[in-house]
Amino acid sequence: MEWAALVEQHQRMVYRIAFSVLRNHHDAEDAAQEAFLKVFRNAAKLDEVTDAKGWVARIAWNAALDRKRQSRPAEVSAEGLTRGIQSLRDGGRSPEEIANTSEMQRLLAQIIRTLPAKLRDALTLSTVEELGYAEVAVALGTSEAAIRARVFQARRQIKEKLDRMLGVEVEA
Amino acid sequence: MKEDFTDRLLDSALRNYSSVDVPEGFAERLAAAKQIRRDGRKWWWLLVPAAAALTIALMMRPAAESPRPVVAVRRQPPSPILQPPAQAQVRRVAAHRAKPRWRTLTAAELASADFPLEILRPLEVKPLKDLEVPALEIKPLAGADQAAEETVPKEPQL
Repeated sequence: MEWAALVEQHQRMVYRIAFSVLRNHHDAEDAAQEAFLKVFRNAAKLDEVTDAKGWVARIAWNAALDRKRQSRPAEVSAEGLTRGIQSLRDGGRSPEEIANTSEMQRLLAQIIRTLPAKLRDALTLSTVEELGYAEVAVALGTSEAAIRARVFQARRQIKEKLDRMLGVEVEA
Repeated sequence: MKEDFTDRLLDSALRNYSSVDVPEGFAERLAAAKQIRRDGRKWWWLLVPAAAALTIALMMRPAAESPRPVVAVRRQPPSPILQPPAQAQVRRVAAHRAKPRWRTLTAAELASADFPLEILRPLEVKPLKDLEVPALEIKPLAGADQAAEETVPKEPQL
């Protein structure tokens, strides 16, 4: 496959995978570049793989993880973030509006970081719009059913934590 | 519904979690990075023949004569001789064979013998007889009984 066509086809997905792991644009771009260079170096294998998208996603995922090992994210106080979100909610903002704020995104990133690795990986990749469960399964080397189960569990755990943090009363 | 709030919040937040656009000029920067890598690799391969040529040149270069260092001569004991000095091979002469001391006399020698031929006759074998040895009788010495009594210790006199 032509280099330019390959980049054009997968750049958005590769970049989003890198961003989902690294949570900053600078590192995400570096990791995405590294992933594409790896893809190009192993371009001969591309014809042999059954799911090219999943294969590229896997390379991007590994490149992002390699990058993440080199840089540690700065810790932000979850209490401060929670207070900010509570004030937005009290101010009558809709959940969709609050979800777009940087406070909510940072709080979510912190909660996701506390999840068990298997749940965290499955959920992180599933947030990438271009990837379906099948491709996430290829990228993580497991079955689609396992990914579905992990994402479901991860969502439940995050929701419980959010409820506790925001002081939401759960109906019996 | 307060629970619905968290659900909607989580759904929206997860949808936005990785929803980022590729920065402008990403493809161009990527192509440039690829080109840099490729050029770097090209230079790396140029290093191989260069290193080989340098090695050959170093190997073929005549050894430079360095000034001979001043060596202080010191008398040393002669080194030990590790091997014995070579000697001319000695020719060994076969040892003189001793003649047998006896031999059977020929008929002519027997005829001319000046000793009586009786000595050549085999000796008469006589039956062996036991020696008759008289039984040994040991007689006690005179005064032996008296001497034995004297050896018995006497009671101490208090």
